[in-house]
Amino acid sequence: MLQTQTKFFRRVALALAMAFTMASLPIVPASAGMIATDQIITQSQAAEARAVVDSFMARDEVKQELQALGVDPAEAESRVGTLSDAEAVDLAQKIQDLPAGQGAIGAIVGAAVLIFVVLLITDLLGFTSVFGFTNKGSANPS
Amino acid sequence: MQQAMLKSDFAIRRGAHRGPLRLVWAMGALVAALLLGGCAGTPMTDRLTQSPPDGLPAQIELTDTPFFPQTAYYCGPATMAALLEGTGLETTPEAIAGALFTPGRSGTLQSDVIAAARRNGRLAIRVDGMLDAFAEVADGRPILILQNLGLSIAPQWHYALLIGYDLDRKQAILRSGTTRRLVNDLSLLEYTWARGDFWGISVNRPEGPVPATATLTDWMGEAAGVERAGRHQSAATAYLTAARHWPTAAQPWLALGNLEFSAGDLAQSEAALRNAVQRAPDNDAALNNLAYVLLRRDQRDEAEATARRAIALDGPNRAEAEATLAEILGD
Repeated sequence: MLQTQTKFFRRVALALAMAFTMASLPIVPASAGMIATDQIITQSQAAEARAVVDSFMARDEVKQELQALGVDPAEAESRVGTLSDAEAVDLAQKIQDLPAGQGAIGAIVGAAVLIFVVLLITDLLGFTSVFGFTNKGSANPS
Repeated sequence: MQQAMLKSDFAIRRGAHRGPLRLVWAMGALVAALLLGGCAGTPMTDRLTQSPPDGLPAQIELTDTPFFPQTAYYCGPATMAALLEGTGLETTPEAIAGALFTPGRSGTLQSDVIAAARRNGRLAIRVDGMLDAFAEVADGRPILILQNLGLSIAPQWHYALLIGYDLDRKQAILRSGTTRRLVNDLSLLEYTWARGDFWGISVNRPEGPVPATATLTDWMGEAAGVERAGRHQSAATAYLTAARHWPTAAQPWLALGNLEFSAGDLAQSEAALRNAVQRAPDNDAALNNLAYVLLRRDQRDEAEATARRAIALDGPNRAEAEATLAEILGD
């Protein structure tokens, strides 16, 4: 009796173990064939966005802003590399929307928006926590 | 007035599962953004009138732009029909309203405007703000703009066509609603359009010319949309236009190779993909797709070598290239 039970539990355990193993295997989307045009465009969009973000991070006033926040610009730059494609595209959009304003008012607004974007980046990278909606580490990321 | 559309869907969806504290933060950020916007005045108007970009004419009016006076909430179909007709199609607001108008919203969604262009084999290219829009108008393209004629908190969305301007008089010229020629102060245009996030498009033939302010990705994204809408011939034309306009770019040839492949023309597909690989030898998607077409054409040795090149790049499509190689070796 006891032996049959043990056998039964062993079988269940084995089945469970197999089920878990299968569930935890990465889902491999790869199949032989043509890579679709939409995917190619998305990939190059992401690459462009990363270039925009990188050149933004390389700007002197951004580095100053990061330093003022106590963030090592080099460390920030290397963390930017971990952004997802979607995050990079989002961020690049915000950077490109920065007003290139002339004159005193434009400069002030420009500085405020610059700080806004820098804070957004440092939030995304986990240096600061100003904007709730970035929240990278959440169990329910969006 | 026209309830053209509701833009808040995205914002609502993003905020839906947030805690109250996060909502407070988001509201704070929103208020800050509104205040910043309030301080900003009309920087684009100032820029355009005080130090206009080089080469921008002081005034222009695209008098040939067709006009359909809108009825009821039909500002979306009316403006879009005018733009489509301007690119050589015969249409009316009534003919395209079915594809554009969303009765439940008493208006037209921006995504539907873009889809309507695609379904007619046209490319709806976004303009990025007022400076670009004016440059495109000066280049002969009327711009469909989304204005908020009300306030941010009580929006009245409206589509109109920007067809001209006069920088000396600080005026913008629009086709709007039932008014064939509406003259607005530039600052009024900026306020109402800024509240619509400066959303605007030009509608372009696949033959081009490509708008000066369009990027390769802008054009290719829309060309692919035209292909998705089932207009394969127009899409192929748009890809070729891109290939001519950006002669060093691989993307147009890649897209063309894919399109020829779906159409079953393997020889054309191979030729296009070879063009892509020649322009971007380090693009693993181009190599993978060329390898696959070569396999289908029974050129197994070159297919294998090409797939191995794609894998060696260790790029974003490595897994697909490995699968392609497996099929080449397995068959």
